[in-house]
Amino acid sequence: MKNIILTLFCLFSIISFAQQKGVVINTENKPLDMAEVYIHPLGILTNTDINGEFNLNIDLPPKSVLVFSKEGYQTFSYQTDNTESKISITLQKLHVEINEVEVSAINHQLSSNQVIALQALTINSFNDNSLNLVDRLTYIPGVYEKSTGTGINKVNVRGLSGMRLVTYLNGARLENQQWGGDHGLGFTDLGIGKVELIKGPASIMFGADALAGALYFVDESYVSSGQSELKLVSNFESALMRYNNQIISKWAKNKLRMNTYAEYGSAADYRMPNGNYLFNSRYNNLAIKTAIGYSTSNWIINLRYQLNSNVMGIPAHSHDASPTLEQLTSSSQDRYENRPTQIVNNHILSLDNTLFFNENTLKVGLAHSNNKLQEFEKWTRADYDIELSSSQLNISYVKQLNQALNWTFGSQSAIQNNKNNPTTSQLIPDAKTNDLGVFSNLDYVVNDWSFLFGTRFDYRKINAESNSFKNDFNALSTSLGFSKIFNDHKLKFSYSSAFRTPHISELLSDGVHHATKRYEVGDPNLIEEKGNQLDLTYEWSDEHLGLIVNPFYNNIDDFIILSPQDSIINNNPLYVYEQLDNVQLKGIEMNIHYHPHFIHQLHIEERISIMEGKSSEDQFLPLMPTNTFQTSIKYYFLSKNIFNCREVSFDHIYNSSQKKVANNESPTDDYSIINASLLFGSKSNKINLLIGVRNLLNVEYTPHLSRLKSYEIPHVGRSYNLKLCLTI
Amino acid sequence: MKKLLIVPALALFLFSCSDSDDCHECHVAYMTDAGEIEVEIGEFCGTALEEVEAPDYLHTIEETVVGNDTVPAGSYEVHCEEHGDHDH
Repeated sequence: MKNIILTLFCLFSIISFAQQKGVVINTENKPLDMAEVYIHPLGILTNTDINGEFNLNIDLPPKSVLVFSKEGYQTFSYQTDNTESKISITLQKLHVEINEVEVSAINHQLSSNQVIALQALTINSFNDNSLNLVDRLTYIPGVYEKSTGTGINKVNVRGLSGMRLVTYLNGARLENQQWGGDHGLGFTDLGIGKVELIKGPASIMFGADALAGALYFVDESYVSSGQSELKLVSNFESALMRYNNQIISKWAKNKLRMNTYAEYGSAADYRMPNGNYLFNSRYNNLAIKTAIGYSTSNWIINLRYQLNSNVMGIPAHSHDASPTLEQLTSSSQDRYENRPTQIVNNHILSLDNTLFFNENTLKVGLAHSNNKLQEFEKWTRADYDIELSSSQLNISYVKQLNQALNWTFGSQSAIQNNKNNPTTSQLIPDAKTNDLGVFSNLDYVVNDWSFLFGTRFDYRKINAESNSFKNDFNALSTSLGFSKIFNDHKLKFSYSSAFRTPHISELLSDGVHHATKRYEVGDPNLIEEKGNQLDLTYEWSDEHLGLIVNPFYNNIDDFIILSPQDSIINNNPLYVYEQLDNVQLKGIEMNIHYHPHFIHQLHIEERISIMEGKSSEDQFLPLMPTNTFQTSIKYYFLSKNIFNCREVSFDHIYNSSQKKVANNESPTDDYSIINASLLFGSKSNKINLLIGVRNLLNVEYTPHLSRLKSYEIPHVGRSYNLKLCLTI
Repeated sequence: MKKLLIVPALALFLFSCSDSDDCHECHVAYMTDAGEIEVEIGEFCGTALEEVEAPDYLHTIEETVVGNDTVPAGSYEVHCEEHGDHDH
């Protein structure tokens, strides 16, 4: 044992890197103060001082990347080199930046080298005018919100959601009963720094199941050594009379750093455009979260814990089989707890280690999560009470074979246990699921070409003793592609194949799903869904105009759907899980960014998502997103008074009508809404104030992916948003 | 370092704040072709609330007139949740 410890100590001591100092200047050789310096992979953010100088004050692991950014300038990345102890970085004036320079948290590649359709979005809770985290994600073309009121939201990617979309939080897979259409994402933007999304089944590193893609949330950065920060963020939303308060503290000293967060929010029933309120759309949420990081020059460890406790009213409840809109709404707005209610408590504990061996990197991640989901129609007993515990071990090793070729291989294993409270009714049975996946990825970057070849084998065993069900599933997934840069143009192409094992809800459901008021029956003979996706991306930009065009085609065999039947069980309509032979999802996503030279601070961005989903029998699939056209106009003010307006923005969102609907599905009309916001800030950046309005024209509309559309319940009316952020 | 302690202290405070209101107005629901008619049966608390919400419990009422409708005498399932006020 002593020898092992000694060997490890020697390995960690082989390389010692100098602490990095430097200066950030502009093209006129003037120092840039308050420029951000982000250190990857440590996840530390610091700023330049008044002389544009920075001192990272920490041992940097090998191949660390410093990302420099400042409003109005192009983001710049720099791979650290231990031969230079002081560096000088020159930032160019920003014109059009269609794909911001950054290092992916998923595969640690620069955005310029990405082959797969990976998009990142900064989650900045201080200056965005979104209603919630999922609403914010819809800024990514191809991403849609599936909602039940305003409290329960799910992410839909290219028409797919639920178990087909794998969600990761800092390397730990999120397991929170996503099979239910009424089971939301489960956490807020508290402490989230950014999200990365891989669209489609290209996520070899995240396993099968991800036919829709993988969502990877990354925590906010730490502060650098010797710094501390306390932030208070308070938000008020008028249509929901929602208040939400966050308190965030960050501290770092030498090699140790710690972020701690707490949040409490409460929303009343939301106001519809006609001035009435959707009864029982109220909710409240409580969250605490902490992250502790420690690093040496060749070892990084992060320990994270978070608890999310959500109490959500389930709107559109009535004893009537076909209630009218009037029966589901109210003339007064309340926030006290009512029934039916969904109560969700989610604990996630994770520990991730990154070890650097010369040019190679080993990552070992452990995670345990516990999700307790209860649905109450009565006050004194839950109708449905299920606990899902999940333990994961993720290992990956990145070996640099030569300067151009990296080989990433590893494994992911998980043990899941679904357990019902025996005193409540049961929809899905007690079951144990064991997963094991091994993967290998080759990345080859030479000159302007990048190539990817990935393959993965997954094995899943499901054992539900109470139903005498025992089965195992296995399959091979592949992903391959290339990208080529020529002058201002970039072309990316990828082909991916993946499979998704039926979930126990699809195999073994048999009972009333209270929140959806359905009797759901599974089919134990379901087989794996098999998906094949082709994805092409063309990017072009010059100084003033940028363009991304991304057509895709996703072909899925043995697609599982929950199909309505013409019968009633226990006063609830019967729905049965069935398999369609084949479905095709195809569409195109575009992003156009225009920046006129004569008004340097003006940015106009257009995001377009067009798609349709059909079965091989030429039937449209249910809950397919509408075509979406989002236009954002932003003007940045460069004035540096003590307190001034920083940014004014207008968003116009047009959603087309959806007449291509499945049997028994209601069509929806098109609509346009306008959102606007003003952001104010102090010179020191210690005070930020956002004043926003959503649905400015108070338009009455029902989103096609709203679970309440069959009742013709409109979404939220005009709503004013006030957000204050104080940094102490 | 002191700033770090503020967040856990606040979180503990938030967790210690919980309301306990275990009394609720209950009603029976009589379904007609025109929709649901509610007959209020009073407030129930604690074990009495548990009893009326038990899975097999049926509450017996006399014939009751609600507005222009008549709910016949009989035994009905009890509901203690509130509904939107536009159906009243």
